[in-house]
Amino acid sequence: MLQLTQDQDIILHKVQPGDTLSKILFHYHGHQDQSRLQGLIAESMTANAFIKNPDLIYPGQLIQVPVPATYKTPPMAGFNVPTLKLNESSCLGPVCKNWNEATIEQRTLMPGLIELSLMSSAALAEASDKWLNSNATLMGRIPTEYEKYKAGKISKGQYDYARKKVIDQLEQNLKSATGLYTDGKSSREVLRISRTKGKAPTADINTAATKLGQYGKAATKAGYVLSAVSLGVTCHDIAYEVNPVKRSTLLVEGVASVGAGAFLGLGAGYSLLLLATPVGWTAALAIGVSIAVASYAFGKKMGQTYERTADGDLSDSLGVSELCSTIFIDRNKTPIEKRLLSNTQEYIAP
Amino acid sequence: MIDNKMLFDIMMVLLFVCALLGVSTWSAIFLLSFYFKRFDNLLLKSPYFNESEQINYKEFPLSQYKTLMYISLFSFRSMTGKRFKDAQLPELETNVVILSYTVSIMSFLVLATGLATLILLLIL
Repeated sequence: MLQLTQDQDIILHKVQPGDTLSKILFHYHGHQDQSRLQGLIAESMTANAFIKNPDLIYPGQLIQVPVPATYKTPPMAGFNVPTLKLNESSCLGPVCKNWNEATIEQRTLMPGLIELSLMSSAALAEASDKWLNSNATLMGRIPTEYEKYKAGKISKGQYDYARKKVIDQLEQNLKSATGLYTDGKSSREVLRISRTKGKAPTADINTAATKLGQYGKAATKAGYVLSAVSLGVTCHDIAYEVNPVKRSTLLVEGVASVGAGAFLGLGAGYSLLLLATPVGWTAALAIGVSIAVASYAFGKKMGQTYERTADGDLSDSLGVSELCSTIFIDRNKTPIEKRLLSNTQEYIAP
Repeated sequence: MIDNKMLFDIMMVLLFVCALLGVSTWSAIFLLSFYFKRFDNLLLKSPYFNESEQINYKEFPLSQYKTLMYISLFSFRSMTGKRFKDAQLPELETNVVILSYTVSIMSFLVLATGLATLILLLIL
């Protein structure tokens, strides 16, 4: 019989096909080093006297799993609570820090929250598309009214009134987002007929309308640049990581993210082809964000699987560690520093 | 009998192949997007693309999806569904056809290796 300490509790777990004791413990405790894992296995075997061999448990069996007392709710099915690597120098540093400081209950809410936020992004993207299109159409009414005025169909007063009405409506609709096309000027200053020679009278208005869309396109491009930067960050981390297992895990995470990005990108491309779904820039942005999030998650999952299963000299044996080290460390060293570094390595090597 | 270690090794190989092929495929699509721009006058119009697509697919990065659609049309036309159903194509040069088939097959391999990696990850 296991004697529980004050900070321990028991959770009843129904064994599923394919479960092993180590797998169940990983499910509840996350990744643990070998000695801690052995301790947890021993505790679990004491709590469940009928288990003689930790690799021999059967589907349907109910087993008692010792967990920390703070762990009051079981995790969501199929979700392993990971601990993220805290790397302050990376842009994800604050995210990792918050994640690691969160309680297990908060962490178990995350898959639902991610799904919810993706759904919200998609809904927001859809709404933004309609919002921008409707405002661009509204903006386009100024040149139309101007053409009518030039053709003598309406008076100058009628044209001025129509223009004022459109600008008021735009300011009401876009609020602070008017800054996207006004560049610090007022809407009245920007949305007016040009008197400059050699320039179409409605050129400024058309420029303002296209500016709105360009912001979204720029954001989508930034997503691609970020992918390239993340590969650079991975290589940088590999160069400065001293633990060979961690170096290989970083490599697997990076490669898995790139592979998942390419896979999901092609999947999205073929879906757009087959479904013939019209795509606006915001919808494309939502697709990009979803692909980036899914690629990141897949990379982390592959990293965990690698750390759990492999012996971890992949990065060194493929020469990636040496390459990244050449790019990020050797390039910044003067010849004297290089010599000092090489002496230190020789000293440590034996 | 295949053990977990062997499945893991297969998964790692598939993952690296998928990533390498994926980068190559997207690079090829990027390069072809310049070459295939000449088909825009013929294909980037109604009824194949709606107004919003005609604007958005002209510029990077969405132009890559347009190039992927052209590649599919020039190689495995039957899989382009309703979009290019009645499209009248001029006689294509041999290099356009060969490049389209090559990139199409590469993209299928990326999808196949990616899917296989995902399945193995779920099994493990």
